[in-house]
Parts: sequence; structure tokens; C-alpha cells
Amino acid sequence: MAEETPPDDLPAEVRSWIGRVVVVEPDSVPVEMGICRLFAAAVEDGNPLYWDEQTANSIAGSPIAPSALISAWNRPDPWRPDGAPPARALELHFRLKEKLGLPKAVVTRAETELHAPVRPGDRLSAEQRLDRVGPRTRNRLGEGRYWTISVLYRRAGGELCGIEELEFYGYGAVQP
Amino acid sequence: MTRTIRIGETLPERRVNISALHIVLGAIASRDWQPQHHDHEQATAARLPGIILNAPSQIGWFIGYVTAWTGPHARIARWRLSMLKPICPGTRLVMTGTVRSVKDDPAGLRWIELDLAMSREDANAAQERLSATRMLVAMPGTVEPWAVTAEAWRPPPFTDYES
Repeated sequence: MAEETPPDDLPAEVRSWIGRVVVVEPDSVPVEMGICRLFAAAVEDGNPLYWDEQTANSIAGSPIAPSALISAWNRPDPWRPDGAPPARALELHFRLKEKLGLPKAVVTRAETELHAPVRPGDRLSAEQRLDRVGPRTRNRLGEGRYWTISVLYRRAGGELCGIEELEFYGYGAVQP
Repeated sequence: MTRTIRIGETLPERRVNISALHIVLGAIASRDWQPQHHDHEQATAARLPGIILNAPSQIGWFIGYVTAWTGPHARIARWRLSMLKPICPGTRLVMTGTVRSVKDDPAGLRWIELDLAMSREDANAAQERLSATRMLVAMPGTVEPWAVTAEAWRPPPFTDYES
């Protein structure tokens, strides 16, 4: 695919982010089977890769975490003992909204590609990369821009476990 | 062992009555603390009909639906989720799926691409689509999907991205 030229009217800082990993969440909560089974129970998924260690060992080398949880492990806790406000999930998205002056945003496309399976004991890092910011446009939500962020999830040692590609439409600029 | 799967084949329908417990448990287990997934008052204040099933839970339901059909040797490779309308407690959901493509690759995997949907079913059996997903799954061909190394694991793009 041909490389797209960023729009001329973007703030310089935002232009400098395009194509780069801007935010890295270096660590996550540890992956553990109690939470994996709770999630599998929530969606009534009886896959033995979550529930039957012997079968999981013979098929996949160990139990694995449900793939739908790939983005969950890095989400911040809702409370911190030091009283500090919780960190923001997908920090790059919030920074973009602030820099572009577009306070509202909706997800318009979400695609996930999986690589190495996530296993109990893993801790994942999350690299937030800005892939694209589009020109000013208008749709039923009003004037705004589309942007695309990819989040690359890696286990310790750098092995890629998955890439989540999220396209947003930001809008709601305060009119002068 | 290679299983025969054909383009156009449909998956057996699955029905589930979605409860508040399904929604709250799925959100908390996926570390999603946003109030629209556990607080009815805040959800309705945000003009939603009630608390709503979050994205990881919707994918979790779709994956469980697919792997109940394929068996545990299948390995999920890719999905694209389209959340069309809120899924709230009290919804009678019907899950459906159709095989969109079947391709064998040189590495020995069989790639199955599926179109999946969750629809609300009313008392008259009329259905309204609430969520849809395209999903790519690796099935055993001449090799086991879970035995494929990171270097050899190359999920192809969805067929609608092919030029």
C-alpha cells in the first residue's frame, strides 16, 4: 500500500508521532487461569484449552488464555493505594484527542490479529503506535478526523502475541 | 486429521438468554470498568437501554461458538468486530455463522474464514442483527495449528482486503 502523506494542518507534534510507537505500557497484570476461567464462564465457553490441563498440554503445550482477553491484561486497575487517579487505557488515543482538539471519539473499526498464544504466567507489554491521521472531514457526528492506532502486545523477551488495530472518528471541536 | 469444511456451510445455531450476570462478569473478567457495563442508572443516563455487553465479551461469545464447532485443535488468527446495536440483559441471542472461504497454505494449515452474527430473537422468532464478526481460524491440515512456530505463523488477510 502506498504511504499516505499526513494532512498539512496537523500539529507538528502529531505529525512526528505518525508511524511511531508513542506510548509503551511496559507491564501488565500476570496472566492466570483463575481469571481466564472466570471469563470463559462469563461467555459459557467450555473449550478444554481453558478448563482441562491435561488436554491443553497435549494440544497446545499448556493451557492458554482466551484470545478475547488479549487487550485486557494491560488495562489499569480502577483504584490505586497511593490515591493517584487510575491510568488511562489507550493513553495515545487521549493524547491525540487533546492535541487535535476533538474531545469526543467513537471506534469505527476494530481488527485484531493474533500471534503467539498467551499462557499463564505471561506478562504483556503494550506498544501504542499511531498509524494514520486523516484530513478534516464531516459525517453524521459532525466535523472531525479519522485516526488509526495499533497496539502491539508482546510477552517478556519481545515475542509478539497480537496486534489490535483501532480506527476512531474524533469530533466535537469547541467552536470559537 | 483434516476435516471437510465447505464454502457456504453453516454452523449450527446457538441460543442464549443474556443476563446481567453475563454482562457484568464478562466486563469485570476482561478488566473493563466502564460504568455502562455494570451500572444500570449510568447506562440509561447515557441513553442506552441498559448495561451493555462489552467488546471482549462479544468476541468471547463468538470464539466459544466457533470452537464448539471446530474443536480445540482450531487456533483463532484474526477477527473484525462490528457492534451494531446494544446487547442488554433480557436479550434472547441467536448466534449464526457461515463459512466464507477455505484455503490450504503451503505451511500445511487450512484457513477458514467465517461470517458470524448475533441477533435478537423475539417471541415471534423474528430476528434483528446486533453484532457481526468476520473471523479467521487455522484448522489442522498437514500440521497442527498449535504446533506452528512464531516464524511460520502467517495469518492471511481477510478476503475482502485481497486485491
